Formats: sequence, C-alpha cells, structure tokens
Amino acid sequence: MERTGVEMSDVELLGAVATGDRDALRGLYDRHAPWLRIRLGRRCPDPGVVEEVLQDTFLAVWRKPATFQARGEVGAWLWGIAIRRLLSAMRPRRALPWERLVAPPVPSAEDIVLLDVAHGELAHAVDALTPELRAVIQAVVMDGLSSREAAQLLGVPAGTVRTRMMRARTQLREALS
Amino acid sequence: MTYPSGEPGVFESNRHPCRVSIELLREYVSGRLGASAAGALELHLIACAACQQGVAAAGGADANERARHESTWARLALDIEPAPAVAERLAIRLGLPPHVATLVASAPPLRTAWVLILTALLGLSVLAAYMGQGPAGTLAFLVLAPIVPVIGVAIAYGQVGEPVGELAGVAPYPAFKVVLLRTMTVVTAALVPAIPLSFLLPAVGPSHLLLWLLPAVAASTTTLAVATWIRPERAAAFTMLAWLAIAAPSATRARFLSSDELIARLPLFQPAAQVMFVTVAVLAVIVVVHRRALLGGDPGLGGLP
Repeated sequence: MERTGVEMSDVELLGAVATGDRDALRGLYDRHAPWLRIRLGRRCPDPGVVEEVLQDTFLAVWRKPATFQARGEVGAWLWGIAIRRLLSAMRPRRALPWERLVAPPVPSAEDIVLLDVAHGELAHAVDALTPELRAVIQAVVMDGLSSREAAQLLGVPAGTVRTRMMRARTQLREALS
Repeated sequence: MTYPSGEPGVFESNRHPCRVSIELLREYVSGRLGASAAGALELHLIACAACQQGVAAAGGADANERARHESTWARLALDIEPAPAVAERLAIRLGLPPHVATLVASAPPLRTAWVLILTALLGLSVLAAYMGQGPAGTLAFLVLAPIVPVIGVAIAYGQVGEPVGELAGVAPYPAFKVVLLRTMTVVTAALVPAIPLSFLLPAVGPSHLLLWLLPAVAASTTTLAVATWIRPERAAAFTMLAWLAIAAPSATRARFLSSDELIARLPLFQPAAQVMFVTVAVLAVIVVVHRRALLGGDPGLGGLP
C-alpha cells in the first residue's frame, strides 16, 4: 500500500492535492484510509457503508482541500469529514446493535495504551459504564459530535443523549473521587 | 508499566517515536481491544504517523482488507477528474482557480494538432516569402494569420459531443463566461506563435505587426458577436469567408507587385482599412456585451434570437 508521497508530510500532500495531484491524494488515502476504515467500522457494522463513506471523504478532500485550516492535524480534519459523512450515510436513522458499536472490554489492555496513572483510572471508570453510557461518551467526548449528531449516530433522541451524558459524567466523577 | 508482547517502538519512525506496541494495534484492528483503550488509541491515531502506518500494516495483512482498500480507491479514481494536463498546471500556476483552469485548458484532442498545423502553415508562408520572387509568401501570411484564431475557435466548438462541449453546457458558470474564457485561450494559443513568425517576414517589421494583428482581433471579436446568433463553429466559418472575400481582390492584384509595394499599395493594408478593423472590433465587442446572454447557449437553439 505504499506508493508515492510516503516521505511527504500530510500538509505537503494536501497542498499537492490542491494543485490537482492525484498521486498526492493516493498518498493521503494509503496513509489515512486504513485507520479511518477501522475507526468507522467500530461505529458502523456495515462494511459497504464504511467504504462508501471513505470514498465520499476522500472525494471531499480532492474537491475542497482548502477547507483544511492550517492549524491542527490533518488526521483530525479527515475524521471530522468522515464521521459526518457516516452520519448522513446512516439516514434514515435506525438503532445500531450496541455490541458492534462498542467492543467488549479487555481488562488487560488499557494500561498498555494509557500512558499515565490518572488516565488508567479514567479508563477503568469508562469501561465500568453501561454500554449505552459508554457509547454516548465515545460519540460526544472522543468523536467530538454534538448531542444532535450523537443522537443520529446512536439512533436515540437528542434529549436522551444529553441525559445519558449527564448520568455518565456523574458516574465517572464518583468513580474517580 | 509493561508491554506484554511485541517490542515497543516497532513502528518508531524518525518523526514520531511511539511507545504503542504492534500487539496493541493488532488487538485494536481485530476488535479485541476494550472501549476505553480503543478510544484512547483512536485519539492517539489521529496524530501519530507511526501508529497510522502500524494499523495499515496490520490491516494490510488481511487480503479482504487489502481488496476493499484497492476497490474503494478504484471507485474514487473514477469520481475524481482526470489528471490535469500540462496546460492546466500552467494555468493554475498563473493563479487561476483549478476549476477555471480545467475549463480553459481542456481541449478537444485535435485542437493542439490544428494550432500546430496552422502555425506550420504560417511558417511555410514565411519560408515562401524568402525563397520566392514575388510577394506570394508575404501575402499568404498576412491573409492567413488573421483567421488562425478563428479556425481555432471553430475547432474548439466543432465537436458537439465532446465532453468539454457538454461541460460548457452544464458548468455552474454563466455560459458567457465559459465561451469567453475558452475563446480567449484559443485566440491566445493561436496568436502567440504567429507573432514571432511575423517578425521573420522580410517585408514586415515590428512596425507592421498591425497589418495582421488588427484584422485578427476584428475577426475574433466578430466571430464571438456572430456566435450570439448562430453556433460558434458556424460563426467562425462565416467570419473566415467574410475575411477571404475582403482579401481576395487584393490577392488578384498582388502578382504584379513586390512585397514592399504590396504593403504600400494594397487597400487592405492602408490606415483606412485599419481604422475599419478597429471599428469592426469595437462594434463586435458592443454586440457581444449587449447580447452576452445568448452566447454559448444550447447549440440546438442556434439561430433563434
């Protein structure tokens, strides 16, 4: 999967895309599509939809590379496009099976990734939440969605997202104190 | 803190040394990683080139994943426009937005060839002016040069079915702008090689540039003006015939003259004629501006006012 542009930075590749360089788009695609695919796959069980969303996302990159603001990460920008494309691809809304949305917790894993102790405690607290609350935390905190967008992703009313978010915050605060 | 398996830093790159192990990335890719750890890793993945590469490598080991990656790219490649041509990159470098550059630079494949052929014809005229005794070469150049851009315009619109012709019909710009942009491109492409060639003519120095440049401008603008009534390629044919009709009487007298006398005597090359060309050009521009809404519309409606 490694082609041209491997040694160029994301921002440089994006600049080349703005001049109509297809190889640069291919470079960005090879670099970012794999992790976007996995991350989208954890939020949408249908691989066909995920691939459509990826195609849409990189088409948007090709057509409007200038919407990237010079500050910030290209990866964050791409994820922002991808998650919103996923949301519109999932209309009409239907509830997702929770077990596909949130993988079952593996207790041994978090201390590997979470590099400081406080983070580790938070991880335990998050894993201890019910799947519903965890999904809301994931959508709102980690994916940076608004409560309305999270509601769309999770197939519940926006008010439900807000109340679940409040409950999740309370439980986390209790677990950490 | 322990790293149960896989050496830390396997995916260390020069820019992003990373302590996340390959085993952890594999757990994540296979969906075995818990929610909080996966969430933290996802936040980390946004910015870590080494881990992005690690995920790609872990997923790339799976043939299905690789096939999906390639087939999505293949569909994406169909969606994106073809690679920009040299002319298009040049236009972008000159400061045109990419979509305008596409419009300007996209051309029927034959257009470039035609411009080359016409330029070669002009070159032959120059050669004839040197080698022949009479003024035939000079005259050929002075009559031919003004219609080169007009022929260019005719060719640019000649193939109704070609994609860019349709692009001009459906592009989200006023059709006027599209036609004007493309005509200007064609005219420029046709005139640029003709100018240095005209300097090579034995009897036509820099001061005589006006002899053919003015008729060229008049012919191009007239073509645009007529194109508000009929299809551009027919308008171009009309203008060419009109120009040849004007130039023909001069040609019949030319055989008795030398090149210098040709320019000194023929009415076509006198100040009065040049004033006329300027007048025609100005009138044509007024017509074009006045009737711009009718320019470059549906070719099927050509002829309807």
